[in-house]
Amino acid sequence: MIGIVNHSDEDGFTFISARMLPAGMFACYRDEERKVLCRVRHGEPLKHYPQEFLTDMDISPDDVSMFYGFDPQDFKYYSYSASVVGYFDNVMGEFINPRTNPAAGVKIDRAGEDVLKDISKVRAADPGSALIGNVLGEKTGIALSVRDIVSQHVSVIASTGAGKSYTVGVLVEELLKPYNMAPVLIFDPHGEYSPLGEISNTSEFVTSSYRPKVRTVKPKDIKIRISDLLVSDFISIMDDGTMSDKMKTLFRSAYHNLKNNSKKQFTRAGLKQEIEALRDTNNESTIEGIMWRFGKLHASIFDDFQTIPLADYFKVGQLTIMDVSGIEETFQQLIASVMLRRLFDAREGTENNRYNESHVDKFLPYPVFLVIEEAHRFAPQSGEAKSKSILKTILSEGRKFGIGVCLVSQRPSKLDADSLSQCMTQITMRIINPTDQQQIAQSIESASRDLISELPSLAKGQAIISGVSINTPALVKIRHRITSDTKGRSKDAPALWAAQRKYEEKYRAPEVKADEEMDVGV
Amino acid sequence: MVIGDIIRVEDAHAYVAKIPPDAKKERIGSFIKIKKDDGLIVGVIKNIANSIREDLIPYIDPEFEPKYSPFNEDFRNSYYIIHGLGTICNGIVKYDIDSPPDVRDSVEMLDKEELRLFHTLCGKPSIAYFHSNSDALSKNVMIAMIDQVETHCPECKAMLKLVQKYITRSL
Repeated sequence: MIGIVNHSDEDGFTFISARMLPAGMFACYRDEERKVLCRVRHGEPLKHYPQEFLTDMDISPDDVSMFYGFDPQDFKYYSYSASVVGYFDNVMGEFINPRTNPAAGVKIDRAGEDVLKDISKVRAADPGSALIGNVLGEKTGIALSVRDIVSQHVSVIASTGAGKSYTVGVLVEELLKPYNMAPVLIFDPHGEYSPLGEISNTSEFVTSSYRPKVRTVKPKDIKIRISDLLVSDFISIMDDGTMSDKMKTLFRSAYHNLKNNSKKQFTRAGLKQEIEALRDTNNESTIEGIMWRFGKLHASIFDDFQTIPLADYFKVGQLTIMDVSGIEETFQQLIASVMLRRLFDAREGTENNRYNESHVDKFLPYPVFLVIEEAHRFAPQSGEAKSKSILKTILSEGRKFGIGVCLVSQRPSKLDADSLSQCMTQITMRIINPTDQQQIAQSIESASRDLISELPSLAKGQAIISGVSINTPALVKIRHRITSDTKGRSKDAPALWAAQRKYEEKYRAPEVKADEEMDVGV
Repeated sequence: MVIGDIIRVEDAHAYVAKIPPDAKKERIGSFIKIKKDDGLIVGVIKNIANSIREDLIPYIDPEFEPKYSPFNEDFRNSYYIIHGLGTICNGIVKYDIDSPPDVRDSVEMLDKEELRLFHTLCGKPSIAYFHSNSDALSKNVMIAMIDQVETHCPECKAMLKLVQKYITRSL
């Protein structure tokens, strides 16, 4: 027993305990034969030391309290406010709130494994499970429902250094385990996910009949096929702010002429021809202006034929890491935009029987999962990004077509609120910025808002997980990654400087000392 | 030195002692003792009350009061209002009184050694009766008590300072 109920009201109940209990901890009480799960919200000492007793650093408050006639033990009790989560209904498969609070005098126990196991919707290591970590301070594992993650998306939000990429790594590991074998793609703007390549050769992922594949696509190998671009993409690439309306109109005409000629795939030369075909005596200079700007489409990222090979990128049991580091941000958005458009088209077309096996690179007959790092770049709250519209479409409609998205960001306030609110599972780690906290509070379910105040105090690797893939929000310690995480770690600058200095001392000629330099000068 | 005699016992902790006529009056907050069986009842002067015989005085000219008053000794009466704090019995200190003094028991000042003994509990300095008696004693009485304890138990000066601040603020 950890406490006894003191009183209850519409906000929950309070209980008295002699133990210090962390906010967010799970407790339980018995209601008839059922164990009812509750969550500790916050606690405070039942009785405070007189403030004067705390002002002499050489005298313990207990000593002076005892000297004065207080029982120091009286200061060791705490009053905790708590809320009822509910009892687990095996038939419904969820926690049912009894809509009553425990009566005064009811004993409160620590929630044991028998109750905590019901927080997870699925059992760890069962098909469709992702063991993400343990209930904070407990041994009970938390397994997320992969089915819910994929159909209703997930967000991983954390300030830098809180373990965001590490957590994504854990999630991806689980998706690639033999009991899931998911097709996963990571859109990686920092090139930090390459250590996940170890998945292929690590025993935890390999069985006699299954070995996950990891494919890392380097920036130089990422190409955007010209014919995959929309007219708006072309204009945004070419327009540096000086493109006149006339130029845009002419370009649109050329583009649509090309498309109307049933050329679904075209080349830069073909497009150029169409533009030239519009040339007459009245628009000489306008056409010249378009042609001059057309040069921007000769950047190495554009190609007439090569494109993002969807079928190769999304294979069951394969992780594809699209390393877009070093690529200009607007091009990263463009790549994301093209890839997402094609993916949506492929899944939608396959589901609606528009595409079949004969449609190479368009037939995608299974759900896929996509991780978008630095999601605020691709769906910003303010400003435009080429990828924002299609990303929002996928987030709102992807459920029907089996495109699961994991949005990862360190600045939720800069991430489009609609997009964030479409992520029905939230993994939220340490967030210090109050604006970001506010944004999170608005986008997550009400039951977990009690935990929002915990966000700044979460340690590295601790997260609040809430949403549809778990039965009730929980504070979770993210499990250890099986693969290494060296790339995501902060650099130990002093150690690196010392190592560099040692290297220089060993391999370089001694430098002229300052006093010798001065002698020369003198 | 006897400073008065108990004339009334209200309860286990509240007594009234009559001060002998023309005796020097002790200060409020002074520690006193009342011998009781084999031990002492330790208390504190909580207040001093002065009264006169109301039934006679209005009719006598102040100039002739000594001449006509048949009970000259009782003519101006002063009383100590005493609050009992605890007992010392065979060297054992208790901050509780289970047997109050009797009427006519003598009230004496607590000497230095007895004061130190009364403020030592389990070998440690203590004024633990303060908390349980804080409702019955005024702030001034308690601060006067602290001053005396500080004088005779200088080792607990630092803690007394904290207690004094607390009492000053909260009571």
